[in-house]
Amino acid sequence: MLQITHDQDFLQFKFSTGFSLIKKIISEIRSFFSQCYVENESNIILLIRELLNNSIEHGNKNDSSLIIKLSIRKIAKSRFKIIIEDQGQGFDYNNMDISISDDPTQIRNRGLGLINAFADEVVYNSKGNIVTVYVTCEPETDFEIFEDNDFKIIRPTGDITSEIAEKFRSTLLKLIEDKNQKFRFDLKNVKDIDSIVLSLFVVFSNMINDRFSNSELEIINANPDVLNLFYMTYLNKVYKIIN
Amino acid sequence: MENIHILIAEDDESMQNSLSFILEDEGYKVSTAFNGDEAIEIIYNCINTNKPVDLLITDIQMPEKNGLELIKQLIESKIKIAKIVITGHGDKDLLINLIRLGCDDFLAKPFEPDEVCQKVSEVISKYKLIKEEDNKKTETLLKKNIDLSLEVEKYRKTVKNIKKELNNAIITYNDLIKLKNSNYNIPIAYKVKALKDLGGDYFNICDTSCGSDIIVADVAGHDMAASYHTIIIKSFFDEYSRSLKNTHEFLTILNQALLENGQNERMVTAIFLSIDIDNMYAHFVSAGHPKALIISNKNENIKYIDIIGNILGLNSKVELDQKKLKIEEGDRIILYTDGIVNSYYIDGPTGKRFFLGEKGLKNLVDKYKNENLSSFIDHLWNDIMAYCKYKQKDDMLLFGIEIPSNKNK
Repeated sequence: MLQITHDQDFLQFKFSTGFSLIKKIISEIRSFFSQCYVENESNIILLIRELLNNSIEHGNKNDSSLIIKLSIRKIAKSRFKIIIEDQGQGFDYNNMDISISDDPTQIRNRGLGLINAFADEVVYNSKGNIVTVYVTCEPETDFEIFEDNDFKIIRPTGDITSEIAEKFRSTLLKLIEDKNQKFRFDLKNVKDIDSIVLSLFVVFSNMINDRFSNSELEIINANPDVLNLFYMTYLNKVYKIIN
Repeated sequence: MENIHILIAEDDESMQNSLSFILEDEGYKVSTAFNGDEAIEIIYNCINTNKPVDLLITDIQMPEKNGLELIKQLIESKIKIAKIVITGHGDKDLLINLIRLGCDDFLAKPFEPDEVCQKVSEVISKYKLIKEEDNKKTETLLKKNIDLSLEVEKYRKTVKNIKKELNNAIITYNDLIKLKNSNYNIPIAYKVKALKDLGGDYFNICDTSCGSDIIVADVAGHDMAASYHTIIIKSFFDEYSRSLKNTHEFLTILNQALLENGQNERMVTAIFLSIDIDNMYAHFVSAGHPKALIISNKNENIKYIDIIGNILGLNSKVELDQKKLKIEEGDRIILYTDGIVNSYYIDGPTGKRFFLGEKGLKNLVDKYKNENLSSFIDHLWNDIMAYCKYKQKDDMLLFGIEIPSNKNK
C-alpha cells in the first residue's frame, strides 16, 4: 500500500512496512527536490534512506501490516523538515551513540551517526517512534564575478570555508593572471569565513600589492562577525572596508 | 553446412517430413516440433550446447502456441536466431506484421525444394555475417575491458602506496607532536581532537627550574602545510625550553620564521603561560589567541584573562599582549583553542547557529569546577561535544592545569 500526497512545498508518503516500495519513494523524493531547486540532494537522500531503514527494520520490525508515514516540507530556501513515524514501540534514543566512529571498517551502527551528521537537528517524541529532522541543503558556494568600471567584483554566493578554500584560491589566482588591479569583494551572502580563507585574503593582498602599484582592494557588505575577523588580522589596513 | 542446425515448427506432418528431407539432403542438421511450445523447448534446451538452433522455419497456424506468438516470444527473450515463416494464401496483413516484428524471410505455400534451399542458404549467410560481426564486437569489448582492468589495477597500487606514505607521515607527525612525559612540575589534564589527520592544534609543556612553561597554538588549516608549520612551532619551543627563556623573544622569532617559510602564509595564534611556583605567579603572553580562564580556589571566582595581541605569521611587526597574575595553590587555569568556543549547534526550525562562546564555556567550567582536574576536563569535554552534537568543525583542544603547593612552604 502506498499513498502519496503532493503539494508545492510538501510531500507525504503513507505506506506499508517493507523495502520493496523504497525505490519508488526515493524516486518521488528526487523529483520533489528537483522541483525545489535542490542541486546536491545526495546527503539528504542518504539521511532519508537511513530513516526509512530504521523505521522498517527497527521500528516496525519488518511487519508489513504496520504503516509508516514520511513527510518532507520545505520550510525555507534550502531548508527542509522531515518527519517519519512508525507504529513501533520506540527506542531509548538518549543512550544511543551518535558520534561517527573513526574506524572506517565499522559498517554497522553508523545509521544514527549518519542522520545526526547530515541534519541540523534531530528531535524525537517521548516514545521514540516519531523522528523530526531539520536539514539544510545549501549548494556549494560559487564565486560570481563581474565588472563595475575598473573594478572586478567578486561575490561569493555563500559561506567561504575550508571546504571551498581550494576553489577560492584558484579563482583568486586566475584573477591575478588576468592582470586585474582593482578588486571589490561583496560579502553580503557570507556568514562564515574561517582562518584558512583569511590567510588567502592576506596572500592575495600581498600578491596584488607586489605586482601593481595602482592596486585597490575593497570589502563591501560584510557582516559584523566577518568584519571583526578582518580587524583582528589587520586586513582592514590593506582592504578598504566600505559599508 | 554441417554446423547449421535448423528447427522446423509445423503441425502438418507431411509438410514437416518433406522440408526435413530437403534440408537434411543439403547437409543441415534438422529438428522438428509440432507446435510453438515444443519449438521453444527445443530452442532453450540447445542454447548452451555445441549445436544451438541457428534457423527456425515455422508455420503460422499451429495448436498450443502459433507461429506469431513463437516469434514474438523469441524476440522478447532476445534469443539470436534466424527466422523464416511459412505463409499461406491471403496472409498479406500477417506478412506485414511479421516483417515489422523482424522475420528474416518467408516461404509462400506452395513452394519448390529449390526455393526452400535458396532461401535457407541466403538467410543462413546473412545470419552468419551478423554473428561474425557480433563476435568481433564482443572481442573488442573484452580486450578493452582487460585493458581497463589493468589500468585500474595500476591506479589501485598507486593509491595504496600514496596512502601508505601518508599514513606514515601522519604517524611520524603525531609522534613528534605528542607529549613525551606524563609528569611535570605542574599537574595537567587535556583533551584534544584534530578535525582531520593532519594539521591541528599544538600544545607543549616543559619544566623549568621554578615550575613549568606551557604553550598552546592554533595553526590555520588542516593540511600538510599546516602540520609543517606546527612542526616549526614545536622545534622553536624545544629550542626555547633549552636556551632562550624570554617569551617575547621566542614569539617574535617564531613570527619571523612563520613569515619566512614558504609562500603559504599561515596564521598562527598562540598563548604562552609561565608558571612560577617558587614565587607563585603566572605570566601570560598572547598572540591573538582566545582568552585563558582562571578559577580561583579561594573564592571560586571564574574569570577570563583579558589579553589579545596580534596573530602571528601575518606581519613582520607583531605586538603581543601580556599579564602577570598572583596565583595560589588549587587555582586552575584553562587554555584552549577557538574550536572550543566556536563550536555550535543549529536550531532546527530557524536554522540559526548557537555558539558556545566564552559565556557558554564559563558556565560549563562553573558546573564542574569542584571535580578533580582530570574529571573536570573529561566532563567539560563531553559536555562540549554533546553541545555541538558531535559535529566537529575545527580542531579542538582543552588544556587544564592546577597550581600545586608552593615548594618553598
